[in-house]
Amino acid sequence: MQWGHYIWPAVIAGFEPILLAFGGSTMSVPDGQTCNLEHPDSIRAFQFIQDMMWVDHTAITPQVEQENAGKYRFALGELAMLGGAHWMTDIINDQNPDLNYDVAALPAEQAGNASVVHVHGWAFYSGSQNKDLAWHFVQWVSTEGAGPEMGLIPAYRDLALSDVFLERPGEPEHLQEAFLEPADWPLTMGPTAFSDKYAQILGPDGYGLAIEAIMLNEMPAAEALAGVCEVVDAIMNE
Amino acid sequence: MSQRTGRLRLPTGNQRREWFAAYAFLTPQLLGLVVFIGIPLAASIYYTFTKWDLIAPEPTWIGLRNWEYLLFEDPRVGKVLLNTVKFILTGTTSFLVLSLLVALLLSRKAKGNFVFRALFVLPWVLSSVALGTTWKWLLNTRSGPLTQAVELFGIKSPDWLLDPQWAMIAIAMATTWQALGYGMTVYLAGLQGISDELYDAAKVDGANGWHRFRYVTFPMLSPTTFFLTVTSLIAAFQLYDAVVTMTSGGVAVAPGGPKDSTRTIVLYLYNQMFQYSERMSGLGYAATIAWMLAILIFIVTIIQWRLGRLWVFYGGDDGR
Repeated sequence: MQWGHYIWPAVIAGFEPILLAFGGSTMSVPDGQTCNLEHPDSIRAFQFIQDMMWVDHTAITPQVEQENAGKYRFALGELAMLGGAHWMTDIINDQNPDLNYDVAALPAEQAGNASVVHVHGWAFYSGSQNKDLAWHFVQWVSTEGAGPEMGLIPAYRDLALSDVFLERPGEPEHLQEAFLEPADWPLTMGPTAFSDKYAQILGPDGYGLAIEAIMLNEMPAAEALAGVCEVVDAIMNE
Repeated sequence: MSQRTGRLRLPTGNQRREWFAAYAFLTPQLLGLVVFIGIPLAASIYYTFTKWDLIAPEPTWIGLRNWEYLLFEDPRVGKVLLNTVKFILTGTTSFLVLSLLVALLLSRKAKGNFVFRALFVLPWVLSSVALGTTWKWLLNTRSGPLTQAVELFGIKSPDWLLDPQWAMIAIAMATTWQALGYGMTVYLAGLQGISDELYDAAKVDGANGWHRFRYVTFPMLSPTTFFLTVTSLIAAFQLYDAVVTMTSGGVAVAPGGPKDSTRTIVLYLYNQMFQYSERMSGLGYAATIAWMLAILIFIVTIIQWRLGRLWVFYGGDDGR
């Protein structure tokens, strides 16, 4: 085992639960309309992430990620913990069926436990020529097709909590505690794409450069995030 | 109108048949040109005067607002143009110089040359995604073969794709490697067109190897160099896929990093077309950026043609 943890530095779902658990967030909760990156708890969370990489040397740095992605390192047994959604289990099972692993929810920080719920929306056009077939497909991917075929969690709670999903061959033991119960936590957020400005905010015209500076250890989190909300809020208010 | 009689001379039956046949052969090509080039070009010019997010039922006419914003207000245009110019300077220069060098080396009659020629051409057929993924790994800071090769000489290797000073150079290295086979092939064809008599005459006049290259090979290859310069510059202006594959993921979710150092004009066009929701974003502004790029390419090409008159030797009686 070479590395401790991988947190998807480039993906909002990678760091947002950590920010939420610390009491911060990238954008205001729950409306997601104003920047919250300069909140002291957001800064503290980002500093924690930076320290995991560059002070404690437990988390994978961008340089290490460049050599081989964290998700592959986990499947290879080079990484102890990998943050991720349920669909990662199918990928890992496929890459290394013999890997003995389990899933767990993220630990709590001062604000409590937090997680991110990815929501997948399915739709078909009212003018579709095959509405019945389309509805049948949507039903299927939301229920028994969700887990084995899509790597997702069934949309219907009773089905997600049933043995059809939880006891499916290849699923880790603690699916319920890791992926289903966190959906009820007050701090759990989702979906991540909270606005049509999302791509711009996360990119170089938003807070992307500040996140880069933190992940590459170019400056402390407080310095990197100073003034970033003015830029983000300007985008949101345009 | 006939000068002699002042009357219309009507085509004969044979001429009419010939014209009909000519137009029949031309029609498919003309139709293709009109449908796939003419109409999209005209439509894209129209869209530069509109705003449309492709969700609204139809575009809204806004006159020259896209052009005003692009030329006088958008603070990112200068930066993305500068990034593009950096790539042009590094990528195009390295492509031309290395293509010529490799062609000169492989033009000699030596055993096994065809194997090397094939090896150099192989990357040319690679997809851009394969190119980017391979080079991303080759340049990785920890165990990348190129990083290690640099460090063999006791030099600290740069953090190629994570250092804004080096990222565009790294992309230029990758694209040069891919295009080298093409440039080499064109140069080899040019070299084969140079008559041995010219070299023999130069030898008789006492020219050494450098002189023969400087006064025979290089001038005789100038049309080839000119062709490659023009086409590679046009391609360099359109850089997109290598940037996306080599700078996505890892440290920034948006390609074009680190520190926005590799965001090119085409990548910015993509941002404005598909990702951003600013007041000007959408098809109209993206079309305006595309037209600015087309105009830039046109101007640069015209300048190259003009400058080409000074140094391109076509081998005619007057040397042109």
